[in-house]
Amino acid sequence: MEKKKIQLAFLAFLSALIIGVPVSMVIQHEAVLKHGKEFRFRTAPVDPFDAFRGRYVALSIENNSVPAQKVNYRYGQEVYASVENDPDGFAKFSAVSASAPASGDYIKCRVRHSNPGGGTVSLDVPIDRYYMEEGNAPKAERLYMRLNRQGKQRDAYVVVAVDRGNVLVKKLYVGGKPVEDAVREEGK
Amino acid sequence: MNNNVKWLYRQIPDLVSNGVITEQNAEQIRQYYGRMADAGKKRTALIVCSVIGFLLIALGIVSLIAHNWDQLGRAVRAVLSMLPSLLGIGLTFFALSQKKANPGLKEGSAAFLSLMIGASLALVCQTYNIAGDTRDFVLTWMVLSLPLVYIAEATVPAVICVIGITVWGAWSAWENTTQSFLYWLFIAALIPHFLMVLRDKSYPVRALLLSTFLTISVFVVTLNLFSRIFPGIWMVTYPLTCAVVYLLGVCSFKVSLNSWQEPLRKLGATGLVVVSFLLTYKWPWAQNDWWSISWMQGDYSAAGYAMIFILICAMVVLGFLVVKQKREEALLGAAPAVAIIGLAMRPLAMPLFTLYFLGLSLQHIMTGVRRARLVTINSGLLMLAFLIGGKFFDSEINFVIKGLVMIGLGIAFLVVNVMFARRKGGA
Repeated sequence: MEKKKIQLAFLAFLSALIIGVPVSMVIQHEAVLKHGKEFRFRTAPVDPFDAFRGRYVALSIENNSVPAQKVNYRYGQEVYASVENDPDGFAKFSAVSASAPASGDYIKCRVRHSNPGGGTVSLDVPIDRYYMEEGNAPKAERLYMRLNRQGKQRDAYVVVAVDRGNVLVKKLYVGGKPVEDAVREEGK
Repeated sequence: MNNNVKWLYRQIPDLVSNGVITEQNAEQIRQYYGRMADAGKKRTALIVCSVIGFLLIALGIVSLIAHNWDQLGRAVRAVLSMLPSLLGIGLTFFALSQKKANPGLKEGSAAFLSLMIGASLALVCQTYNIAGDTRDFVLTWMVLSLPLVYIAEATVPAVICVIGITVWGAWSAWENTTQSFLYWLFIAALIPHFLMVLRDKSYPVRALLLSTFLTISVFVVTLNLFSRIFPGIWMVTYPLTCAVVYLLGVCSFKVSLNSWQEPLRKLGATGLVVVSFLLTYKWPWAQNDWWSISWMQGDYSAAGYAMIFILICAMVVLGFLVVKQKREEALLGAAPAVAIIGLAMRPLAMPLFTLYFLGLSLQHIMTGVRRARLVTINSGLLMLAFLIGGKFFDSEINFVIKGLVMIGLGIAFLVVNVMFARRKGGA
């Protein structure tokens, strides 16, 4: 009986952790959505599948390299990329540093590649997926491919919220419309 | 039926003929242990069915989640994310609070909860389009699942943890070798449960299951680590890993535990035979090929050298014990030593391994004949057929000769099998 009580007490403690971890993730990401500043990144979506998490549209940021004075970052190193808007209203990376900048907006990224010759650093930006209902993601990909053939791929972009290094994808736009609307209209 | 009962059954005729027990006693013993064996089988079948049922329901829920119900809205989905875990927690509480312990319910509910932890995390990732660092996702999931192994004293969650941490460990070997050593800490955290399962004789299937998955896991992660750290010398590191696992499997220890060594022996032997066969070819030993030293820059970290040192020490100690106990098994375990000689004398490596593999095949056949074990003879013949077949088709020898030799080998196979079947009265 004593052993059973101990087991149940430990299970209660573990349950708090099991629920606590996803709850803390929700709180953290809600804070980014609430307080984060909005940016638009041009993207190139393709459609892969995550066996556990479902179907999503994989996003690839069009311009993920940033000019840097110090380029001897190693692969996988965590860096902070400052982000600002260009004259077209789309986001671009303006600088990279090993520590968080004191001012301005920035995203925590990992180094993919350093190019000492060109003075640039290529980044692994944590904007890589947009989950969609299983039937819609391949349709979104086909739509994007068609727009691409028509030379309208520059209408594909993603709206994100950036808050103290954290970034969250809010909406994916294809052909200038939210991807869900674009897919729905395509199906009509 | 466990080995002790089998031994007892073998003793009964002697005991009766020597007058120690009567024929009636012998029948009573058979009935008693027969009943026990049947009850054990039924109990195991019930547990297996219960676990399969819970796992199927869990996988169904995972599949429902993978549909991505995006019309539900963010807030609803965030709240719904907690449901799978809450369901699993409720079920596990119910299983653990039962007055009479129900091992099937305990195993099943704990396995269900460990999958539901992953489902809840996945739902949150989906809802917020969280960037896909799958390694972090798997590690969080496994760390939260690990305590369940001890709280519910359940082996299926342990197997789920082994699978998850293997994926994480193998992936980390390439991404961040230093971090990947956390894998060993995780495996060490599972060892007390493994020992508990070994001591528990009532469900030997648990020991076999966990031993098999742990062996595969150690193989997968070690080989990935070695490929990343010392890419050019897999001809030594792979046989070394397989040999340590194999020798650990064949060595006799003074502890009487369940059959934990069986998966180590079988998987280690399979690994050694496959790698040894590959090493009878030229390409592993050739310089400047993609699989050779120049293929990629290794990590060459201190931890890698420590791993090699530990494995060599283990191999020397185990090899010494095996040579003392069972000389026949020592030849297969000697593959890494042959590989080291081969690496030191690269031009001779291929013929050396061809001779070694030939020796292994012949030894298998002879051992099989001596012990009258058809499986061993056939495995030896199969190794010989692969060696000769592989070498022949690789060479410029006339097709007629190749054909005749293969027909000869085929006939040898059939003759040996028919002879053995006749000797055992089966044909």
